[in-house]
Amino acid sequence: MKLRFFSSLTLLIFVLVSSLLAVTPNFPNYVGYVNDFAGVIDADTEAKLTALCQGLEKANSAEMAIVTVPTVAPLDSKTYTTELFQKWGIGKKGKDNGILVLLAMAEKRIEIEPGYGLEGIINDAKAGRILDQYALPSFKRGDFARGLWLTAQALANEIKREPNPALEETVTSLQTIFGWVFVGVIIVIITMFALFFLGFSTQIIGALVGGVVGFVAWGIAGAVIGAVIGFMISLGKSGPGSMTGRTFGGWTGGSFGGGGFGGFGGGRSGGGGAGRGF
Amino acid sequence: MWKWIAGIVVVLVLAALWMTSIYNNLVGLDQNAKTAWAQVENQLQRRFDLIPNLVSTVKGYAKHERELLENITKARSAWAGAQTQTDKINAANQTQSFLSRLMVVVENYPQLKANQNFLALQDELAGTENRIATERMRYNQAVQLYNVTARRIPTVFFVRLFGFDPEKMLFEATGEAATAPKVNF
Repeated sequence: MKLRFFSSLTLLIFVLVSSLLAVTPNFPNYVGYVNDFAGVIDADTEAKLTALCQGLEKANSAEMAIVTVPTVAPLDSKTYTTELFQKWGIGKKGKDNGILVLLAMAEKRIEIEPGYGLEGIINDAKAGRILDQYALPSFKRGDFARGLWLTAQALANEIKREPNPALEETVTSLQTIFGWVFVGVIIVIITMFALFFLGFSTQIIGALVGGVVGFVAWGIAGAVIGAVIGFMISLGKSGPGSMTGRTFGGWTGGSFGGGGFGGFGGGRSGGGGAGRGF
Repeated sequence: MWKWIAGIVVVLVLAALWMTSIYNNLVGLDQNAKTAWAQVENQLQRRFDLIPNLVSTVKGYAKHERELLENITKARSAWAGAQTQTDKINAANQTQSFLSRLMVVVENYPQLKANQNFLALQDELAGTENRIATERMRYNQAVQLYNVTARRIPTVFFVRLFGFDPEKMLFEATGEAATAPKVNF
C-alpha cells in the first residue's frame, strides 16, 4: 500500500517535472554581442561582428545580438527567437531598441526580430528583403559566417540612419524611496500615539520608535551605499547602456574580453520581423 | 475608555492598510491585463490594415479565389463593427482562418508569388501573425494572473466591492484558427 503510494507520488513528480521541462527549454546565457553556440563563425568574422555591434551601440545606443544555435527544439525558431529576446532583454529599457539575429542550424532557418522601438526602422518587409539579399545567397553555399556578417552590416546601416534619441532619466526609483519613507513615518507616528493611549510608558515607546527608526535608516543607508557603488562601477564601463537597469548581466556571462559589453539593457520585443528557411 | 478607542483606531488603521494593499495589487494586475489587451488590439488592427492592399494585389492574379477574398473583406467589416471583446475575438479568429487558407492557395499562382509587392505583403503578414501570437500569449498570461488573484480568498470578497471584473476573458483561438498551419516562408 505504502509502496504504491510512493511510486504514484514519484510518477506524479516525474510527470510534473517533465511537463515543466517541456514548456521551458533551457535558454543559454549570453556571452557577448556574438553568441556562436553552434560554432559556425570563424574567429575573424566574430571579431568583426563584435566590433560592428559595439560601433552600433556607441553610435545609436541600439543593441544587436547575433546568435547561432544547434537546434531550437522543442520550439519553432520564431517562438524560440521571441522568448530568447525576452529572456536576454536586448535593447535599452524604455527604448526597446534591440535586434536579434538567430540562426538555427538543425531547423535550417534564420530569424530577425527587432525590439518594439526598431519595428519602424526594420519593418517585416525590410527584414525579409535583407535576408533574401544578404543572408540566403551565402547560406546556400554553406558560408554562414559571411551571410551573418552581411546581414548584420545591412541591419546596422539601416538602424544607424536614425538619430540617437536621448536616454531617459531614472527618477522613479527615487520617488519610490521617498514614498516608502513617508509611509514609514506615518506608521511610526500612529503607533506612537496608539501605544501612548494604551498606557505604555514613554521610555518603552521611545525605545521602540528608536529601534524602528534605526532599522529603517540602516536599510536606507544600505540601499544608498549600494546605489553609489553600482553607479561608480557603471561609470567605469563605457557605453550609455551602463546607466540603465540591468547593468550586471555581463558579469555572469564573463565576456569583458570584447571590451565595452556591459550586458543587454532590458529591452522588449513583440514577435515582429521576418524569417527564412535555407 | 481611551484604551478602547486607541485599540479600535489601531485595528482600523491596520485594516485600511491591508485593504489598500489588496486594492493596489488588483489595480496593478488589472492594468497589466488592459495594457496587454491594447497591444493585442494594436496588432489585430495592423493585420486588418494590411487586408485592403493584400486583397487588391491578390485579386489581379488569383481570379478563382473571389469568394475567399470576399470572405476576408467581410471579416474585416465585422471587426470594424465589433463592439464587445467577444465580437472582436471572433472576427479575429475568423480572419485568421481565411488568411491562412489564402496563404495556402496562393501557392498555385507562381506569377503572384513573384510579385515584389506581394512578397513584401507576405512578410508583413507573417510578421503580424507572429506579433499577434506573441501579444495574445502575453495577454493570456496577464489574464491568468489576474483571474487567479481575483478568485482567491481574501481578494475574492473585495473584487466586486472595489468594482473590478470578477474574471477576465482569455483570448483563445477557436476552431479552424487553432489548428491552422503556421505561416512560414
